[in-house]
Amino acid sequence: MDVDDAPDDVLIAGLAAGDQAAARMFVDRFSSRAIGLAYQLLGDRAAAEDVAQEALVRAWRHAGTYDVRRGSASAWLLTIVRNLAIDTLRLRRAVPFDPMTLPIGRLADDEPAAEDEAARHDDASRLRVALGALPVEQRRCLLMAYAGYTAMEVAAIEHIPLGTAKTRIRTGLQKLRLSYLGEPRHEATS
Amino acid sequence: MRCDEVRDAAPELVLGTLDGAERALVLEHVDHCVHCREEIAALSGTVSDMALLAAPVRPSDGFADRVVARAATFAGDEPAVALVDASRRDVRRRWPVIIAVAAAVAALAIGLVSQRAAPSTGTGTVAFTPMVTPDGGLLGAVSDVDGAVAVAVSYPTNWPDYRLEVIRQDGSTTTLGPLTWWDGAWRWKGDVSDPATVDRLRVVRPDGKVTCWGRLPA
Repeated sequence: MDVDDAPDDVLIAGLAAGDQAAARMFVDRFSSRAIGLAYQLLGDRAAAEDVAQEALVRAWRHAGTYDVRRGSASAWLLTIVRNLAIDTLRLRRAVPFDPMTLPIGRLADDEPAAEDEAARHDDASRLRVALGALPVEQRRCLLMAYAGYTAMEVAAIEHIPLGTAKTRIRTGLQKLRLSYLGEPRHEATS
Repeated sequence: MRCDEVRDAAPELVLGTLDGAERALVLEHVDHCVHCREEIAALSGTVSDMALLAAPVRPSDGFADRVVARAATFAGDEPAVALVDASRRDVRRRWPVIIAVAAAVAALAIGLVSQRAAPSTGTGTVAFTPMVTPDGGLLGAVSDVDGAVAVAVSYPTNWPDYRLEVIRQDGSTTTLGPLTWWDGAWRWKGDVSDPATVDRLRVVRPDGKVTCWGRLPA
């Protein structure tokens, strides 16, 4: 098997074994998604590359601990990216700002998208449709929580009671899950 | 904690925004409740999938080279963003959590004393420092009992792959070994060579996330 065609988990095994070709392919395969997620949470291209770089290096160093039973390689890497991006975002909060001005906040303003035939076969499209179907207040609260804001912080930003913030986050995530899982799942990795 | 309370808290748990004390209670519950564990696993999968909402961004020229170069010369340290002294972060608003967990830490320390008391021929004195989460939550203790180092962390989970690492002042990292469940806490004990060169100890999850860290007692 050529390394170009190697499944994600095989690449990770190669990383763990110190295979340079596998490492390079892993970086090439996941860089744009890692930077994309970090950019969505940070809204800063340079910071997003820093976070993605750190996440890829960590994945490289800890490849030996990856367990395919706990999720896909991309989910594993992107969880590292999200956690690092949230840490970076928290450091910025000394200066209050509206998290909905971040790229991820734009998702809250999207009009509900019609689900077409193509979207039914694409995880990202189905997820976007499911998110767009949420009431905008639930969307906002869920996206803020995804960006690492606690329910108390969400309540303060939205000027709503804590219980309402928790309910919106909980209901939004549960609806998203139910709507998203309405169709058979497809493998999300490249 | 009841199942309905756990399911209320589950979204915040999987989004990573639940505070330390409540998180510990939820994890304690799911340790023995299959239904809640499955619910949390399903929600966790949805949160992971939310990464799909981000459009890929093409790396700048040389990005892959920089990653490869950094990995090759990596000294084994955490990035600055994760290493702000967590024990100094916003302590005032965390007092309720700190007070709640302090009792557990004290109990752990007492456990460490009794654990060493029988075979010890030393003075039996114990010094301990806190193990704190990246958010500043108190999670356990590092103890120095007559020269032996013991780490105890009150993390109620059945995930057995946590490991203890030592980070030296020169940036190098060494794995001391896995933590094992014993007497109500995840524990490790043993000798740490050249303690004067140790910057800190940390507990690391299999996915590389640092669960908590602490310094050797002076």
